[in-house]
Amino acid sequence: MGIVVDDLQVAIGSRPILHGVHLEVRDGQRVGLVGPSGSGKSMISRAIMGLLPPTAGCTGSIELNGRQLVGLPDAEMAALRGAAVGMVFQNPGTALNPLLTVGRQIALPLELHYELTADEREGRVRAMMRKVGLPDELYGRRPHELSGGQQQRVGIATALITSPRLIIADEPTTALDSMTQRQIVDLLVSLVDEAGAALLFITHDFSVLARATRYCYVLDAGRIVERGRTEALLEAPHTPQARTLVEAARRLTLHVDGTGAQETETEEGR
Amino acid sequence: MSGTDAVADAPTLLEGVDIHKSFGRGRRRHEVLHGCSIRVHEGECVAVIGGSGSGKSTLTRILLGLETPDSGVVRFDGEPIGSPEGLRRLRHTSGVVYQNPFASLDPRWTAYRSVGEPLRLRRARHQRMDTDELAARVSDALRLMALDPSDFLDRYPIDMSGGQAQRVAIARAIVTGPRLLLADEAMSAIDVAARLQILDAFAAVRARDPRMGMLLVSHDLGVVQSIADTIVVLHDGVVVEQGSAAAVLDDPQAPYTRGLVAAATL
Amino acid sequence: MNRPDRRRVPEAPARIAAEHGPRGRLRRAGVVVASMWAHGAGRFALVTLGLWILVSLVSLFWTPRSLWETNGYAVWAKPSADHWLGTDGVGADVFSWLMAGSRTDLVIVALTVLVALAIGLLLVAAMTSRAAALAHGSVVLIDALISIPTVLIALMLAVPLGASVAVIVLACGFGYGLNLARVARPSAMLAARSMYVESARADGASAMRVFATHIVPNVMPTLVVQCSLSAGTAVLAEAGLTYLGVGVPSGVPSWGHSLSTSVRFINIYPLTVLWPGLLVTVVVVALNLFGDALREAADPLTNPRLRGDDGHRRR
Repeated sequence: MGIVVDDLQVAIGSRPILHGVHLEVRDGQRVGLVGPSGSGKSMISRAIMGLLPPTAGCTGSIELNGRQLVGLPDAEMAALRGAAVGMVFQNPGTALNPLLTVGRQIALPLELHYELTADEREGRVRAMMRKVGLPDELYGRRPHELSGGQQQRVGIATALITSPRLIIADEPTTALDSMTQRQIVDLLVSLVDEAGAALLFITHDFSVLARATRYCYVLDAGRIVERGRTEALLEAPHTPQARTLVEAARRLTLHVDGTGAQETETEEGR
Repeated sequence: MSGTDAVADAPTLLEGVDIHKSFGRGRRRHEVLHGCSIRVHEGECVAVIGGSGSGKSTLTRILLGLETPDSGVVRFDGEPIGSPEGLRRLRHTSGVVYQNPFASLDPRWTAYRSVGEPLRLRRARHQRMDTDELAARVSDALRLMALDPSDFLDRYPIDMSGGQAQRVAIARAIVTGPRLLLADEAMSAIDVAARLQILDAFAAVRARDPRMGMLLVSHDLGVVQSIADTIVVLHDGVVVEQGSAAAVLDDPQAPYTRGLVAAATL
Repeated sequence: MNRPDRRRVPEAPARIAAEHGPRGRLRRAGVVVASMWAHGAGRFALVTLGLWILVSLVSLFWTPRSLWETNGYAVWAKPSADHWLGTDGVGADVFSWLMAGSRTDLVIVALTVLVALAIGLLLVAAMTSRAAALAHGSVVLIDALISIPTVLIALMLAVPLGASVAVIVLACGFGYGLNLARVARPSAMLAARSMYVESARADGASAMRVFATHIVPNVMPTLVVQCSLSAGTAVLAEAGLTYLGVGVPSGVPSWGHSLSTSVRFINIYPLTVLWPGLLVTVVVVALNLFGDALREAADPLTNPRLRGDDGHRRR
C-alpha cells in the first residue's frame, strides 16, 4: 500500500512540464522529492491531489493504495482529498481561510468526510491540537492572530485530522524561519511515523531532507535525474543537478566548530 | 574576509542609537523596539538576525528613513537622517534589496528600465545622460550579477526565475555605486540553489566597492555565516548579542542565540 | 536554466537604446495592432472603428446626397438605388444623415473619454496620495457624486448651455470619470502599496514620478477596458440625451438625431429606426471588444510578443 506514480506526463497547453516521472512511497516510508524551482515538483503533488489546472493534460499512472487516480472523475477525487491524502502547503498564511477559527479550520476535513456529532468533532480537533502542540486557547482564534509556526501547525493538524494514509508536504518549511523550520520538520516526522503513514516531502533544500527523509528523488526540468538513500545522495551525488543542490545545501548550512552541533557531517569538499 | 579589527577602524557609515518604536494607540499601544543601537562601518557587512516578530523589519525601515522612531537617532555619514539633507544623502547613496524580487520589481518594467531608474532619478538633479550611456551602465551592473545583458536588458520579471529576478533587483540597488547596501531577507524567498548565485552576486559587489557598507537582515544563519563580518542578534525588540560573525556563531552567549545556532545545524 | 537566446545581438546596449526611442515605440505599436488583429473579436473591432473614422472623414467632403436635399414626394421611401437606406419623414436621405452623424458621435466619444480619463486619473492620484485626508476624502467624494444620475447632470447643464455637444461630453465625462476612478481603485491601491513603489520612493522618486511611471501603467489595463465601456455608453447616451432634447441640437446630424426623428413612427416605418439602431448596436459592441482586445494586446504581461521574444522565452 502507498502511492506509485509511473510514467507521469503533464503538459500545460503545448508546454510539457513532466516527462514520464516514476516515484513511489510505501506506507511508513518518508520520501523526499527535491529539485530547483520550476522543475515541476509542485505539479507532481497537484497531479496526485487531482488539482491540476484545467488546461493541463495528464497521462500515465498514479496508483493510490491500488486505485488508479489518473482519469478519475472529479467527484470521486474530491472524496479522496483530505481523507486518503492530506496535504500541507508551503505558505500557511494564505493556505488557511482567514475567516475560519482554528477549530473550524481543523474540523473541515472531518465535516466533509465523516458523519460526526459536533461534540465528537470538537473532541477530536482538541486532541489533534494537543498532538501538534497548539495551546487549547487557540481553538477560537483566527489565522492572523497566530505566528507563522503556529499557522503551519494548524496546517499539519488539518492535513492529519482524518488519519490519511498519505501525506504530501509541499515545501512546508520554506516560509518559516530556521528555528521554526526544525520544529515543524520534527513534528511532521514524529506524527507521520506514529500514524505509520506515507510521507512525500517536497522541497528545494537538501539540508531539510536529511532530517525528514530516508530516501529521495531528485527532479530537474520535469525528469527524475537521480534517486537513492538521502544520506548517500548527500554524501556523493552522481548527477550534476543533484550535485548543485547538495553543494548549495552544504555551503548554506551553518558550520560551527565550537559548542552545540555535531550534525554538520556534510562538511567536506566535493 | 577582512578582519574585524580593520573594520572597526573604518569610519562609521550608518548608525542607529537607542531607537524606540511603538505601534498602536491607547491601550493597544505596544513597543516593538526597546532601545536598539546598531552601527555599520565602511566596508563592513553587518547581519541583523532574529525570528519573525523580533522587530528586525521595523528597525530596517527606521534605518532607511521609511519610518520615524519615537526616540533615538539614525545618522548616515554623521548626518541625522531626520533632517532633509541627511535623508536626501541616504536615499542617493544607498541601495535596497527586498525579500521578494517579483514584488519589488514593477511587473510592467523591463530589466533595463528598472535597473536604469536610479540612474535616471539622479540624472535629473545633475546633468543629462544619453540612452547609450545609460544602457552601458545598466549592462555593466547586470554583468556584475553574472547576467548576460543581451539576454536580460529587455526581459520582464515574468520571464525570469526567482534567482535571476533577485539579481536584477540587486543590479538596480548597486547600479549607482552606493555607499550602503541594505538586503532585507534577500534570499529567503529564493530557492537554495539560486541562493548561491545571490551570495556570489553580493560578493562581486563587495569586491568592486570594497568600501561599501552592507546591512543584511536575515533569519538564515548559513547565509549570514558566508557573508557577514558582524552579527547583531535581535530578539523581542532588544539586541541580545552582537559581535564578530565567527565569535557569535561559534560561541553564542545569549540563550536565544544558542537556540538559533542549534536549530540552524539541521 | 536559460535557453540560448536565438536572437542574440552583439550590440545589446545600442539595441536597447534604439528600442526606447521613437522607432521602438512605433514598432511596439505595430506589434499591438498585429496582436489585436490576430483574434476575430479584435479584428472586428479594428475594422468597425477604422470604418467609423474613415466614414467620418469622408462625410466632411462627400455624402451620396446632400443633407438638405428633401423630396416631399418620396417620404419614408424604401431602400433603392437613389436612396441606399431609404428616406425619412421629410424625404431626406437616411444613409447620408447617418454618414454625417458618425462624425458628431466620433467627436462626442473621443471628448467624453478624454474628459472621463482626466477626471478618473485625477481622482486615482488623489486616492493613492500619501496624504490621508486627501485619500479618504476623495473616496467619500466619489461615493457621494456617483449617486447623481448622468441624465440629471445633463439636464442641469442644459440650463446654461442649451442643447449642445458640450452637455453630453461634460455630463457623461463627469459620470464616467467617477466610475473609472472607482473601478480602478483596487488595482491602483495595490500598486501604490507595492514594494516596487516603496523601492522607488527609497530611491528618491517624487510622488508625481511614482504616479506617472508606476501607478498609471499598472492601472492602465483596467482603465482601457473601462474607457471602452464608457465610449460605448457615450454613444448610447448621445442617442438618449438627444431624444430628450438636451443633446445634439436639431439640425446637427447625429445617430441620436436620426433615431429620435424617426422613433415616433416605428410602427409605420420600422426600417428608418432599424438602421440607426443597428449602427449604434454594432459600434457599441465594437467599442467594448476593442477595449478587451487592446488590454490583452498592449499589456506586456498578457502579450508575450511585446516582451520581445514571440513568447519563446521561458525561464
